[in-house]
Amino acid sequence: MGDMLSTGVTGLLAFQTALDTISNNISNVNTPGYSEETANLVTNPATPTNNGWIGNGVSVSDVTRSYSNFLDAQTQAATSSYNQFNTVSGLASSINNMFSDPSTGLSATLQSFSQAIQSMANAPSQSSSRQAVLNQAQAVISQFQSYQNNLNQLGGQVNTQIQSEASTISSLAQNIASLNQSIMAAQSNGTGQPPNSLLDQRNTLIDQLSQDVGVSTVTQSDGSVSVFIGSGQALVVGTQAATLSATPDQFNSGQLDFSLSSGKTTTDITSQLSGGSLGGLLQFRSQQLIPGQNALGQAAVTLTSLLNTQNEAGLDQNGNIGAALMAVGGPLVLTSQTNTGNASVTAAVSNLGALTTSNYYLQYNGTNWNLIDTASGAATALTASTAGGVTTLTGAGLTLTVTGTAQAGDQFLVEPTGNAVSGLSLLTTDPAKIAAAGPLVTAAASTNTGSASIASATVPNTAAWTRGNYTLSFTSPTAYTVTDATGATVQSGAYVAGTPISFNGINVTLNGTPAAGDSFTVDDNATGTGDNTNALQLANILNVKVLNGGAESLSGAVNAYVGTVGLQTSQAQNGATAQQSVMQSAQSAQQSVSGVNLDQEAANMLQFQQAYQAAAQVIATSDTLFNSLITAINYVG
Amino acid sequence: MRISTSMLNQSAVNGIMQDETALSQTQNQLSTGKSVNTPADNPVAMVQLLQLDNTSSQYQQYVTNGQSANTNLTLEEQALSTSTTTLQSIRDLVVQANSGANSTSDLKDIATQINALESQLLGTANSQNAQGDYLFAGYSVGAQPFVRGSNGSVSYVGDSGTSSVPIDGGTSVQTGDPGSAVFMNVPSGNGTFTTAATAANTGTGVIDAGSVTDAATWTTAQNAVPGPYTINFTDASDYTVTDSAGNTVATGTYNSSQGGNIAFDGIEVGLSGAPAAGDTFTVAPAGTQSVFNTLDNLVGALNGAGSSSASRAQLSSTLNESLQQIDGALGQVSTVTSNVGSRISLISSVNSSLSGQSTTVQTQISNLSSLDYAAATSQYSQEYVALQAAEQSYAAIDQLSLFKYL
Repeated sequence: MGDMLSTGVTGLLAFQTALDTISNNISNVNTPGYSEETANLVTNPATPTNNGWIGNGVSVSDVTRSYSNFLDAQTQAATSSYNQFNTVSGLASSINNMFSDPSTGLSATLQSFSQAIQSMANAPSQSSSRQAVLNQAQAVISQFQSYQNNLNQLGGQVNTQIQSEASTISSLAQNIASLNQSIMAAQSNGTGQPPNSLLDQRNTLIDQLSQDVGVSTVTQSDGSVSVFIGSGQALVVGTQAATLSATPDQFNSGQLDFSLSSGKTTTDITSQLSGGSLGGLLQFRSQQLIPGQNALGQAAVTLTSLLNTQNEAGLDQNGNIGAALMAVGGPLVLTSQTNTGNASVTAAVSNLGALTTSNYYLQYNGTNWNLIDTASGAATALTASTAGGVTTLTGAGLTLTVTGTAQAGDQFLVEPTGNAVSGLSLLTTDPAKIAAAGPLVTAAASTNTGSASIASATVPNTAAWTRGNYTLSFTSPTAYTVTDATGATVQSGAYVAGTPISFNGINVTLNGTPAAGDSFTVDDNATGTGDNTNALQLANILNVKVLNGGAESLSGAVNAYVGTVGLQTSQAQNGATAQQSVMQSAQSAQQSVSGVNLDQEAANMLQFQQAYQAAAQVIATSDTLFNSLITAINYVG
Repeated sequence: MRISTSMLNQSAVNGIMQDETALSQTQNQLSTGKSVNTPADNPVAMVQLLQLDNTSSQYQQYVTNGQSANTNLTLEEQALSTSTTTLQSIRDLVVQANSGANSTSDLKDIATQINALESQLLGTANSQNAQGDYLFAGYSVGAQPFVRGSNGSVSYVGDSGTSSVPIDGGTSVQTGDPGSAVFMNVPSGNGTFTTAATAANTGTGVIDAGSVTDAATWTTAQNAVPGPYTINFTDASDYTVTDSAGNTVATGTYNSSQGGNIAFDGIEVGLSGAPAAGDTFTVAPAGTQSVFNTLDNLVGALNGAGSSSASRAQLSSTLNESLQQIDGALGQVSTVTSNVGSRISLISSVNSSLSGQSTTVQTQISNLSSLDYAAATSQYSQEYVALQAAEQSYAAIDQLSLFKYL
């Protein structure tokens, strides 16, 4: 009888534990990171008797959680990936929205500028039409600056988020390390039972970490979990957590990088990090923000260069050779703080056709200089020449001048156009300074008898032009003389049909055949306020194919940039949507193992409730049996 | 698959949220009426839209350019028309002066009238547009192009520059003509040669402006010996024509009662009246002369005409020559006028083709960016139904729980 009672009691206790576990499951149905727990029942060892092995009831061996390492890791990877895409998508949308209206964007503003110049070409002597050109130029500058400000604000936002990511990750690492300690202590306290709630907490923290950065974990035999980020940088090892901090990059370019400190060593691990919202921030910065700033800068540099060159080729309303109309910021070269040499580098744009939207590392390996694209890591061809201790490097459309002595390993950050827009400004407020007129006006003498006419008279470089009125006379169809206004001979020579006649910076090309005695005047157009020749050239600068080695015009490049923004944004948005489904299905796979199902708990509860009632009935029956025995004894007695 | 209770809720909520996102995007398209609202909606279409927008506004600019050129050319046309009228009046006066029935004072009156008309012509040549730019100054629109100098003659101080503006992708139109091409370089005489009676002539011989009978012979003769010819009357009926080198190129007899033509080296000149022995006439290759120079000479000749028959014959030769030159000037103005007219009609025909091209571009823009309302509305209905179904099924599933039956 005693056995029956104690066996019944084991049932009661075991079922009570099972019901406790079920009630805990029900209570935690909505707790994030909670894994469904199960009380595992085992049969107590039976007692051998002559009549056979008599069972001794049941007991709870342990309470385990439903958990899959594999599914958990999968969920974390999907979460990291989704957060990276989602972060890029959110930030990229900000750039995307800047270009949402095709009729007010940079492309349209540049077009208006070109049209203002065309209107000026219709009435070049009118100062109101000239003023309109300056106003439109200012509008173009403002448009550039407004885009640049938006991008700079995004850069600031990225820096702020980098700081908050660094501190979030560091504090998660601390918490994981201290949970590692608790779990190790709980596992070694002798019961050998798994500390389920601590394990769940640690998983939750690692899940949270996976939102911020891509993680991989390794469970050690002592129960601790080592956490690695990026390409294998240890964030948590046992009870030791490293600190991730946001630090200025080695060039002090205003960008924040990530440094990992464990013990005494601090390492910049920015380039190794990926995944999570942190990976998204870095991806956005290197693939969209910097190229975006550089693309705007490239457009500004191109506009300024073409506009100034063309204006310098003509004559302004006062009859003077045109001067530069716009200023633009030059390339930036930033020196690494880790450089050991004393070399300093300056840069200037030398070839618009080779100018890119990338930033570069200029590295010295002890013998050679290399120019490395910061985003792709690809090397760009560099030609070097040294004279008088100054090394001149040419590549990527830039001329880099190195003075001083560099040591192997020294490097510089070169931003070809990133600084351009901030230096963009109008150099004049005087509408007369726009060079609408061409430098020359030509005429054939009315007495000419030959068939020759002037096809073109140009001044390729106004700086090399000796101004004045010249007469080109032919003493025979094959001999010419150029005289100046005083009648002095400037030049004479043999005329070869089709070959330009060049003198004092002027090139004259003739059509037809001159006759002896024919003459042409090639005059300084100083009073030509009605001439629009140069204005028409100015209006055409948007369509001059100078970029990409002469394959793309300024207006094409600006449009292409908008296309790139749209493409990158839609890729990020589509990626985020796709990764969201991946993450959701990973989560539901993980939850299908670890989640609590209330219907299941209800059924289990019923099951154990009935078993408990049965076990209680066993005890009651045992009591009845005992009572009937006592009664029988009393009756006999 | 086992579904956890929280996942059941979560996935239902995820589904509803996705449906709402899609619905809101479609709603945004419906409210803006555009299928491409940001570059990300359709990057390729956006780039095309940017280009088409630029093209469309460039077309508008071409129209503006055309209008501006049209304004300038219309002004020029008016000035040219005024010049033609003025020159025509002068021509009438020259014909009147040449009629032979005028007294010296009549001639002086005619000279005064021609002088007034010349001033009027000078004023027209110095016309300005609304901005104060001189129409016939070439590039130098800021300074008066035709100036009467201290020596009394009119000179052109403008230049021969011509501005053009683009009125279509490949078409430019010249917006004006320099005064040098209108009023200055008028071929003198009949365009090939000039004729004149020598001032010292004592007879009444009058030479007309002559004409070219064989241009090739004339060119060959001029290439061989360039320069003027002299017709010399050795007596009242015999003449000798010598070239500038003194070679005799023709001799002949002349009947003073009939008049007659003298032909040599591919040209012929008509003579009338009775030249005296020793009278000479010159025939020189034509240069160019400004219309003002012609008129100045004409006024001088009319004012200086005497009443003797020799003097009248002299005047008559000069008037014949002047008529030719005025006709030359009229011809030059008329050529420029017809050029201006064809430019104006070019602008108008380009404008009408521009409006066609512009419509094409607008259609392309609309095809790329406008919303297909039928498709979008049907999509909106589908998404609406999907959201409704998701919400209703969630509400229904949420009611189910085993605990209800315990």
